[in-house]
Amino acid sequence: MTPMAKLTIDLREGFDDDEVVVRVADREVFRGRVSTRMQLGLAHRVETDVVGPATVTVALGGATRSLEVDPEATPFVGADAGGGDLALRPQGEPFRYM
Amino acid sequence: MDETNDSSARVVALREAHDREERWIPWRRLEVSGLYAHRVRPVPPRPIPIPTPQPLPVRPTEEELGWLDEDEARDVAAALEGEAGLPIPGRPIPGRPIPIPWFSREEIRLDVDGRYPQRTISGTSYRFRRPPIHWVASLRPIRRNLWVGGVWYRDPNDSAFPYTRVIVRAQPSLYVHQRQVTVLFAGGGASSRQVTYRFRSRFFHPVELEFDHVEDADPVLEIETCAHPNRPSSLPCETLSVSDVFERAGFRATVGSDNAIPAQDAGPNTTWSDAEMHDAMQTYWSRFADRPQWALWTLFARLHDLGTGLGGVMFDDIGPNHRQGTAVFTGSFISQAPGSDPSPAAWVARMRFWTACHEMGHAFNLAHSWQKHLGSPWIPLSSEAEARSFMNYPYRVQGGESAFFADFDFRFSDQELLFVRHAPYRFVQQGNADWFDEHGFEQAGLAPSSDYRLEIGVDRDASRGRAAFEFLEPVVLQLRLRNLSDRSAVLDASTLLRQERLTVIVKRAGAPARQWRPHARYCLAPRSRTLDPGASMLESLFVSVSPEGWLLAEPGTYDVQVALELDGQQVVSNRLALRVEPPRDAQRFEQERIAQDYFTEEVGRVLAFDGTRCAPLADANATLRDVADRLADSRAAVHAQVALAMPETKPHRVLRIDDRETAEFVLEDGEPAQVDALEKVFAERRDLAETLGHVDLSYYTDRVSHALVARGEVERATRCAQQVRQTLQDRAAPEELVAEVDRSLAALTPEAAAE
Repeated sequence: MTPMAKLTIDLREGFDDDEVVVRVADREVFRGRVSTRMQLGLAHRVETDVVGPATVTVALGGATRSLEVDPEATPFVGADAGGGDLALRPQGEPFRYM
Repeated sequence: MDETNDSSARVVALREAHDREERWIPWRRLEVSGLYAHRVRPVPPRPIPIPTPQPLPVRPTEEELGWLDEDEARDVAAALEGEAGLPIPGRPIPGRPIPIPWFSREEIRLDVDGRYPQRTISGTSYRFRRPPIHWVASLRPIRRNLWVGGVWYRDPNDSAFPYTRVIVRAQPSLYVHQRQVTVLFAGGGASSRQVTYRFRSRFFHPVELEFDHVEDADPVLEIETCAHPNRPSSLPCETLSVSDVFERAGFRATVGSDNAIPAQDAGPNTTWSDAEMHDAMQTYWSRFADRPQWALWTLFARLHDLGTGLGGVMFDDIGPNHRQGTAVFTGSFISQAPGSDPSPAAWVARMRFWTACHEMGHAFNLAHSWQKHLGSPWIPLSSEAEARSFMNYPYRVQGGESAFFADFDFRFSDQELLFVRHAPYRFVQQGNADWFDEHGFEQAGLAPSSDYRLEIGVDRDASRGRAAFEFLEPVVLQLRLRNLSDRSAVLDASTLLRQERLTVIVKRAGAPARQWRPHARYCLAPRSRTLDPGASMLESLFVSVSPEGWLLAEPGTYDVQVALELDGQQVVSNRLALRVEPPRDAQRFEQERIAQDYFTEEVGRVLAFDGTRCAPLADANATLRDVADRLADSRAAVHAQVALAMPETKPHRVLRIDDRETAEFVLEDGEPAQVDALEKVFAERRDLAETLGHVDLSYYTDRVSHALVARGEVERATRCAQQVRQTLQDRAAPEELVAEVDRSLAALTPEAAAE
């Protein structure tokens, strides 16, 4: 049986009182307005549990981006907004902020 | 070669010589950078020579060059050819001089040598009850200790500081008291102005740094710069402290005590939230205060609630005074050296040190290097994604962290240094808020004594020291300017009507002070009035609303103070305490409903102008009718009826634009019903004088009476005026106001009606 793993999705740069929806494996895990806290470069962190690879979907206004993620290999996903678009980036290490 | 080219070549040669001298024999030069100040005693302004506005660029005038020796003057003249500087704020009016500005205290920051010179001079000039003027100019060296430059930044950008260029001469000395800088301000259509500033400090600003650490954290406040092998080959090997870093940025840094904070203050989870750190700051920081100050607190803790991914944070964006607290998390990724690093202990120490300086940089309002184009920068900035600065993430540059530190000199970038040294310091100072908040009444030198006294009040009794106003009730001040001297004074009769000379501050308890501004400025022909010893002149002032919004609206306690610029001095009034009551219980719902439409820019404007017939403001009039009808017992209803009736007291000129966009002015007769309604209010309301004030009541009575007379209703007009006269007399109103009503009464005749 595939063990449950933690997936962390960071809404990072470029959010300015934007309505964002985050879905993981077709399940809505976050909906709300977020703004990037400039001194960190982080707007909001979403943590959820998943079993096996899952599709992460982030929707911002008219832009929607999806990414297939294996939480065993890349349990961290960063979402950056800019110019009305979104970029999703998976990585194995936590994103770093200062 | 023509004369200009010859001069330019000479300037280039001089500049090269200057640069050579700086480069090769620095020990011969005494540094001149630093903070200089100039303070003046309040004096009447000098007679102002009338300058001739000229197009830019202009040749330097004799006035600008006369204070220099012959060689200096020639070089400066050559250098200033074509120097335009920042365009003149506003537009000079031919024949109207731009006056020499008058400041109570001035300081400059000369930044031409020492660590990381920015070849910049900036200045702050303090004015009475107005935001200080801040300017910045880039400097070009002309000769040793002589520079010229164009002013490229001005805040606020108005005509109070019209100059476009500066000529700067420094006098270095081994003796501190002999160091001084003379600046000649020129250009911009104003007469030039020369000021000599005395040396205060080699630093541009002070700052007090206080570091505390949690018991389980490992603070790093200094490092050996050569402890790690990956570094610039030119990096001097030295012990470098955090305070050294900020001293090199231009701050006189003093370091406060280091407390050990119990780990349990982080709560049961042992990690720190922003709120917990804010609480700790209030508890442990000896300098904590809810006000701007050049001071900040840094906490070394083990981990933030966000975990090992957060190396540090400027957490203090809670409450009104931000940027006072920062934290470094020594258990985070900044303590995890790469496995292949040749000197992991030095790597960790350097990252902890770097993070402390980075977070403290945020407290000086510095953004991340790649975010500089975002938000509202003080000047247009470009991001510096590859900058080797404390404000860039080492792992974010091309080549990553090792590439960053291979070329990192433990400094802030030039753009950042320009900001922290020369930006208006409300942008930089920790905890700073809007100008004039709390301390606005203290920052200018007041005239030590004056021949006049300005009194402000309201024509009602004060309860518990504060005059109470109903919710929605406009606040009308009564101004009285009294001659305190033992001789008669000749003043402009419109002195109190010249609202551009008034500075009115309204401050609600617990909120920043705000400045009232008039909706209109009147160009009034001067009329002399003799004010005998002890005599006074009166005027009213509606201060509830400014063009920027309502100042006196929400229930609460307020302080109001007024200053009048008179004969070059500021005459400051008493501070008036007011209270705006909450809505009455019986009418709470109705009052709160109407308030949504009432506290608008449009209604404020209509009240400020005593009413309107302007079609686009019909909604505002509808709101005022609502107030007059539905809240008829309220004092706001009196003011609403005044605003509805005043435009109807005489034929009213209205601009009509038809479907073909043809515009014409049409003279429309007044609507008698509104005047009748106001007359009824005058007859029935016992609180008329209290809410309108004696000055305005006298004025409105005159308008209503004449409107009635114009309809042939002399008897009603007389009755109305007599009632008001009696009211004023009963209330012991100033005799001159009663006399004004008497003059109105005398003019209410059948003959006047026939006219």
